[in-house]
Amino acid sequence: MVAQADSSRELHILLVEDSSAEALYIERTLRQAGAQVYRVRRAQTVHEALRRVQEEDFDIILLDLGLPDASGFSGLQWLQQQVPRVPIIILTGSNDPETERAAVELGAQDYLLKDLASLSALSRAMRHAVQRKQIENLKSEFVSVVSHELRTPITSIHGALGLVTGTMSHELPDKAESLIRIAHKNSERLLLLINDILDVEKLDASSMYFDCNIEALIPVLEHAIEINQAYADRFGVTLHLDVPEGLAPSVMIDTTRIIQVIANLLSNAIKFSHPGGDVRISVSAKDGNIRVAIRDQGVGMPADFRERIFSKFSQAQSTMGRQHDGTGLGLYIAKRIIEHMEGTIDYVSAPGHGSTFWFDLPDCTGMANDQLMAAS
Amino acid sequence: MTEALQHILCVDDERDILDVAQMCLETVGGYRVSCCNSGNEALQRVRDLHPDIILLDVMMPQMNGPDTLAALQTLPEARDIPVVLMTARIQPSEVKAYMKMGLAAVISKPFDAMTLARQVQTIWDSRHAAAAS
Repeated sequence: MVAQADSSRELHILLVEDSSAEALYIERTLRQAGAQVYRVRRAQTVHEALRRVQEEDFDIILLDLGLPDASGFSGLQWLQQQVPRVPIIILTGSNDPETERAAVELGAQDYLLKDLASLSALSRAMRHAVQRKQIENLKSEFVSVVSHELRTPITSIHGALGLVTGTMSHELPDKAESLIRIAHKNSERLLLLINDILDVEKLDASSMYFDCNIEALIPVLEHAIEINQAYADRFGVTLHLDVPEGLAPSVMIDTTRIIQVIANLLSNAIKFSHPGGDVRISVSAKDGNIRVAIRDQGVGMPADFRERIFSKFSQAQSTMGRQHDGTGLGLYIAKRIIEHMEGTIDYVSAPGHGSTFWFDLPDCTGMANDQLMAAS
Repeated sequence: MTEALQHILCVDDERDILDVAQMCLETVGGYRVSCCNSGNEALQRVRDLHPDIILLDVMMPQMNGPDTLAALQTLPEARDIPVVLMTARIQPSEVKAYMKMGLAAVISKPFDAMTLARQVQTIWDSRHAAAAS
């Protein structure tokens, strides 16, 4: 549990800073505080910080970005993964608005310049960070508990309706059968929505677990297609996998999560296709990346979708989206998952001319081959 | 391990989920299904029931799924019965740890009524093939 940010108790701070002089300056600054007592532990590297957070409970982490063992925001992400409930403030010498925006977007509670880190600025930032994180944690817990509590009764409802539609529908009057089908379809939709809300919550709280390994991509794509075949059949859509001869790429992925992304892109492509249409999944290699593209010949999207398509509940604002099943969270989740695997996701589309969504992931084929060589 | 999958033991504290799972496995798969409302009940009855496979819910009060799995592993009469965890809330790292404890597979919850029986049969077949080879 993250502590209350009041002055009646000491605040336990982990200062992750490789420069002794700067660490000393921060520690001296915090020692000047009157009512509020700050207890500061220091780690010189992210790895030391990761060890310390396992050994002790901290109320807040002050994290330098230029550490020797972490490039970019990797230190922030590792620490968030390890202690998602502890607020992290970036303490840096880099006055770059773009870096600041990215840090906050990734979940940092604040971004402070070391030069301007006076006692009052630091105290206020830490107090607010702890309070904000506390509210975030409460919200996260609430969403998680409510979603899980909802899932239990829906499991029974969905299972029962599935069994009736699957095995007893011929025994029912036509109207009753039709009503049961509607109820079954909508229980499924509700389940998808709950799953998506839980995923969004985990992604936003940086608590989604990723088990990334170097994997051969083509078998993963084949598996994803197999899983979605029944859905394609339902819409009368044919799925094709196009892989250039000799291309057998490996990528660093969490297989379960990448299949979730592909399933999302495939289900969109299928449901927006015309009956009898084709959806093509193609793989290509370019500039050190592997691209997976999913192309449909469906209704396409107008240009003004671009600004909101990867945002949460994108379908809620779209009349086209409301005509089709979907939570409007899938593409947001897909984007966050792909970004977590250091990839990018984008699309091209035009009304009446279908859409092509793709994601690029760093090509790890060479590393996979090295591993094979080493193992043999 | 017997040749054909005939008898399944379902363990879940939610009575409605248990009833639906039982009906799915009986109606679609044609299996004989026994049910227990808790891990403790499963441990007490497993010797008499002697199921071919056990489907275990993860989140149960008192004794949860993984604890029940660990306890089953200590019983000579249950040690060789494949156990499948049914859950919506499990991390891949946890799955790996439970596999080391002897878990046969994980089926995600909520299950699909029409494919649950096939999923269980596939797990049984792959275990059987592995045991035979």
